[in-house]
Amino acid sequence: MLEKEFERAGIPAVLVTALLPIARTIRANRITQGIGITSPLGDPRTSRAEEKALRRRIVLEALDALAREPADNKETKGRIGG
Amino acid sequence: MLRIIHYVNQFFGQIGGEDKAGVPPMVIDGPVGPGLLIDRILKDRGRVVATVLCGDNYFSEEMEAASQALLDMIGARPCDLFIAGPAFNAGRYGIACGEMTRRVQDELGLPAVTGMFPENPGVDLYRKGIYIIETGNTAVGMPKAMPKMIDLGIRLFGREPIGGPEAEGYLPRGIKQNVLASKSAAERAVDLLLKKMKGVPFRTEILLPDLDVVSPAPAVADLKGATIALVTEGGLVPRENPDNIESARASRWAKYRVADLAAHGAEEFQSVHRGFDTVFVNEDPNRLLPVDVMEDLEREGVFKSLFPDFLVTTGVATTMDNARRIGREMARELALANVSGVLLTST
Amino acid sequence: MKFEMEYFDVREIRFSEKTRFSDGLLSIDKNELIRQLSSDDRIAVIDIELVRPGENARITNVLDIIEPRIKTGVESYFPGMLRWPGPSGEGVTRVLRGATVFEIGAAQGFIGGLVDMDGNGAPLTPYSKTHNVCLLTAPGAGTSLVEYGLALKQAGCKASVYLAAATKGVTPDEAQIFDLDLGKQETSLPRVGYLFQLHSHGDSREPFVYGDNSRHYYPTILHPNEILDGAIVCGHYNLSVAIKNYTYSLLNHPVVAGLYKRHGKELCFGGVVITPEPTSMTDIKRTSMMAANLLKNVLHVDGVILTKEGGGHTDVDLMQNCDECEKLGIRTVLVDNEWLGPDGAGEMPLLAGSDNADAMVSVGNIDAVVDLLPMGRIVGGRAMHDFPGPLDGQLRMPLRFLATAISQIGSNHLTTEGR
Repeated sequence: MLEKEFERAGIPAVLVTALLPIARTIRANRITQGIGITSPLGDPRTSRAEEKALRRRIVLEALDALAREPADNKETKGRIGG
Repeated sequence: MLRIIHYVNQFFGQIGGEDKAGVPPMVIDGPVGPGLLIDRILKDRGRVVATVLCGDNYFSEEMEAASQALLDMIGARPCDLFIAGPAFNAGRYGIACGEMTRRVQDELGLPAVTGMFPENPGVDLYRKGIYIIETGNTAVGMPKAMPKMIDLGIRLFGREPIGGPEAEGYLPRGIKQNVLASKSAAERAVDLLLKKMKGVPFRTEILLPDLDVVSPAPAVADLKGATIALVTEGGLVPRENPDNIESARASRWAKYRVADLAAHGAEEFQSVHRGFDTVFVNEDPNRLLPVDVMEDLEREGVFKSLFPDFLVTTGVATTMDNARRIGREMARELALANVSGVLLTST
Repeated sequence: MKFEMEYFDVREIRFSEKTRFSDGLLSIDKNELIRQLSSDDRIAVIDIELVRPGENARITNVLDIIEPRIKTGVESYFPGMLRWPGPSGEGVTRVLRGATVFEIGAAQGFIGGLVDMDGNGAPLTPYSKTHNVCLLTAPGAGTSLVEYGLALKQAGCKASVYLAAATKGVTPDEAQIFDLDLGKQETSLPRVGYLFQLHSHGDSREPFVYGDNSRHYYPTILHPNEILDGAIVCGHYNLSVAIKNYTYSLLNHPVVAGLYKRHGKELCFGGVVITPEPTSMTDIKRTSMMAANLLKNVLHVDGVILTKEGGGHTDVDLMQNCDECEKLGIRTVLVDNEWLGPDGAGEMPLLAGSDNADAMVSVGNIDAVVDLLPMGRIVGGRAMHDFPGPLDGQLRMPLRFLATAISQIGSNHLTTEGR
């Protein structure tokens, strides 16, 4: 719900979450797929280096969503997690 | 003997029509207009001890002062039950009845009832907090509406259990109350499924709301010149949880230094969130709040600067009111600091 | 699959020199029971207390509740948890009906429930009417929370079997045969299945199926008998009691038992699929696709009841499962609790939704608050994790702390009504 208040105040906000259906239910404008509930921006089953590379990709996707109008903001693909 | 105070506008108070809509609050001993009907319905069970009155225009233009003056008049008299209107489809009168019913109930702690036509604008404004008996759209509906208002009022006064909107005749208040059904939920589920499979009409027990859509904020025009803030609903706080951020149903939020999180990580910061298994995040908070990557990207110039504080609350079973308030408070903070965009993580 | 349940009705419990059961009286040799449970140094069984129906008593820090049971012949139960390979659902099971074993322990990180035997909290929990054997435990020195949980589970299961063993040679009060052939039957009755979501978000947050964590399972067909006969036990001590199922509820599973009861009359019971609730969208999509396929193309059901276990996240699993089933033409009914705030005025009852979720049953507003009277006797401690203040006086308490007041599998009669 926070992202909606940020957007209402004119600050673009991207929600990074594992569970897109919740983001859609609450009608968030900008959404990026995170990995898992228990680890939205990491994958504990991979090495620390791989994990950070994965995190970097998600963050870049999220920043990209901030720099675009939501109409062309595609949902991004999730990976197995948590 | 039930002592009732009744609220009416200038018209029902027999002061006059639109030309008298500017009259200020006043109090009259005993019943006036529809108050006489109240007395007739109650017979020896009770009576209208006073009528409080205000012109519709005066009330809508001076709502705070008018309602306070009326509240003082009501509070100064012994009273068991407050009845306002009914207002039928009169908009200004409906709002006055709603406001007075709400304030008398909430501030004087008295049982209070009003009545309106469902399309009266007062309904949407006040239905959540008060009992509004459904009426017709004109005063022709008075003989039907008033007995229902009195009946509900008497039962509120007696602290009797109040049934559902259909049974009691009030407009749904957007509240759902726990009740015990005659059958278990499992039995009801089988009943419901058999109906659905047979194609006969069935009724769901949970209706999903369609939440409001916020128009998107304009995109960050120039990422390279942007200040990005990190916010999380993941309950990540210093180990001693200095701001007592709740582990669920949060009413609070806090901000901490990104530099502290970057320097100390899991040694100093832990998630208090109760809605998910925090083992992985407590091993490495970057899995919740990507501080390591954000600092790299800041250094590389992908964006200009990382906002030095991160904002945190706990997003589990938070009430919508609290979530909105926390969001507004955070937004104000970020807007004052000219933050260009927010990366919000949730679990 | 076929098994027989023999019920032995417990009308009184007391401590005695010797553990035995006769004429409805369950006598318990407390010292022997404690000895039976003391071989595991991960847990200390400090004391055992007995609490009776209607007593002016409050039981706190309740982590699980088990019905005492034993399988005739093997003289064990809970396959995978205790030493018996199983499977459940065959042979003869002896049940001490009207008695329970309470697993009690206060540990930082575990979330216990509360049972009032008297007052206005009593009607909200089924365990105010049962004779409760309360195991008061603490973690062994240096034991991790997960290990303590496992040891507690073992202790609860062992105590359950130990008590039920006292029925050996006694004539049961009632016997019932559970016999169901899941083969495709020639019938005009609607064929109905059950999709049972099990929470699976990590250690101490999930039940055990034949002794293994639910997160290790893909959607799997279980015969209804297996569920009614001890294949699944509660292991989620780090989950609020309102959003998990105690073992007692699982052993008397209301949806499974309800479909059984109406089988051959109003419907044809087509079987059960259990499915985990994964933590990523990819996994949720995969398991829901597989579960719906099992229901449609292996069990051949035309309608299904779906229940979830857990908090708001698992509304996503519920809706995804609903969508996948409806996509294959299976009609769905969803059972869920609502999140409406203490005053019931909340605007978002669930965290996820679907246009297909047009037939839902509410098990109540989980945020509602109840006022509880002071109780004369407190068993299980005067403090409880996550609840401020002493527990012996008058309490204003969220309903979610009351054992099985909210039952996500539908054991209880609670629902919500517009006001």
